Amino acid sequence: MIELRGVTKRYGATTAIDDVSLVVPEGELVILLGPSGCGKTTLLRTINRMVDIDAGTVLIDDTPNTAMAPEELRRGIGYAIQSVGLFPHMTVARNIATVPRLLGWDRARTDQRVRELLALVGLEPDAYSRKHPHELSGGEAQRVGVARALAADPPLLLMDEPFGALDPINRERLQREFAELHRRLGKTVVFVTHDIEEAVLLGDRIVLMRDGRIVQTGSPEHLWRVPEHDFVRDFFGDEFGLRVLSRHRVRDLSPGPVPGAEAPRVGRDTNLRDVLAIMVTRGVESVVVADGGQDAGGLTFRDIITQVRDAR
Amino acid sequence: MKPYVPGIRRNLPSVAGLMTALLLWTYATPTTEAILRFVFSAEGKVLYERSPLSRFLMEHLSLVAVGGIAAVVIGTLGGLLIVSRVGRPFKDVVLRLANFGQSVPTVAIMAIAVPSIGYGWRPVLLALIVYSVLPVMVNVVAGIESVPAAVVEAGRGMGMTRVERLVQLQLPIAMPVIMTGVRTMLVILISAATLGAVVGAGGLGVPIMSGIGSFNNAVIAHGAVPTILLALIVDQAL
Repeated sequence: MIELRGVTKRYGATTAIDDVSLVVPEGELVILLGPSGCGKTTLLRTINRMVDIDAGTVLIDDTPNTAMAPEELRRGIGYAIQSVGLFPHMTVARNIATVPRLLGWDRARTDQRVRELLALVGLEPDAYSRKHPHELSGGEAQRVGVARALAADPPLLLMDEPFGALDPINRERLQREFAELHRRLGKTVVFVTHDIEEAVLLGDRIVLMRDGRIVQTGSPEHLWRVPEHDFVRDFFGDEFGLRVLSRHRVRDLSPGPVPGAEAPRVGRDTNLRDVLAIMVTRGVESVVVADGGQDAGGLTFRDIITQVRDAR
Repeated sequence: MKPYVPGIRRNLPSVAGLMTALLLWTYATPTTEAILRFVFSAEGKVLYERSPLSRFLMEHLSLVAVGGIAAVVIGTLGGLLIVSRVGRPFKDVVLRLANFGQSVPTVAIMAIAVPSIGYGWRPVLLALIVYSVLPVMVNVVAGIESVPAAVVEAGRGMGMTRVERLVQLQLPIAMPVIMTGVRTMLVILISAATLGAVVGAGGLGVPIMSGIGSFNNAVIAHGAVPTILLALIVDQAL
């Protein structure tokens, strides 16, 4: 668990972080989101002391992060930035082994861990261990970046726009895989992005920031349902609802009665944004939920909106 | 991402060939004499005969080795100092000073040095070091500054200390650029060391100067050919 209490950071006359308090529970993926210059990256970097704060406290599992040397602290926290952060003169295996080597793991344990991690991020260990970063595509480099951050199995990951340098198709694929990985590993993740789509897709919770302060905190559904400021509504824009729908699948909703036979059929794994697209394209207001060839029920436009709005 | 090219690009076959040529030129005196006589048929005497060429080669190598090592040590330390947090304010001053050292001709430095420290190898070495620190230092600075900031930041974020970042990231990544400086410096040094003959430091400059004094092109070539071979070997070996 991470707890920030009254964290403040000034650069000369400007206040980059202004009295920010935030709690991130164990296992949560929290997104720091906001326009550029809002202080989200600075806030992330206060956690592993890449940025020294002027006032306040950062607690990690109830211990102030100033209780040990910064290097020791950082070796215990996963850190990933855009793919340019890979070390160009080292092989993929050596890159991933950075923190284990700093921690003095023996060779066998390190090699074993590197292979595990390559497999975990979907790269064939034998094919990739000996490559150099320049031989990787953007997506592959980013997978290596994630593997490197996970190397010493830290309970906490800090990620600063890790998928920012990727093309849209690769970015979306990595986002979905990362969401799956997060569900599987249960790490606490603090993730900085300025990409609303990414924030809504990945975040258990979004911390929306502006001018060094937190504007509002909550699940994407919550921010959509009860925006506390005009800024929240303006920032997320008119597509906010659609983006939130893409977080949910048909199986997450309780279906109503089966509508007329002419309604289009959707599977239980279809995401709700796609269901809405089908409704708009076909000009209908309800769909049939098909489950293994059976018509299991129906969903109307109203069902979708109200049930997602009330989620969580 | 840009491919990483290690700093040293050895061309071993050509190094071996040049090395053989150098050794033959130095030790197989009859052959050398025959070649020089063939090329400079008009000259009466074609070899510098007061001392064997091998002695001058050794003197030359010693000057270059000592001067080169000193320049690498001083240049690297100086370069690291001025890219460090402590030295950054002095960067311009130090680079300008080193630049000044390089713009003064080697002969002038020797001329100034001889009255104070006498004839022999000392003033030559001093001149060579003053002259060759700059290419090393400039390339250390350029190399370290060319390392992408994100790489160093990633290292820091994963818990590398300042020294670990320098030794494991910055220096290896800067090595190609640094080696370019060392190569340039050594080639300059090999040619500049011929001037040592003027103030009695010996070296391959002795036959060259003697040939110039007696208007004998063959004797000039007797000392110039191994100097050129030496420079080519360094260029190909590093």
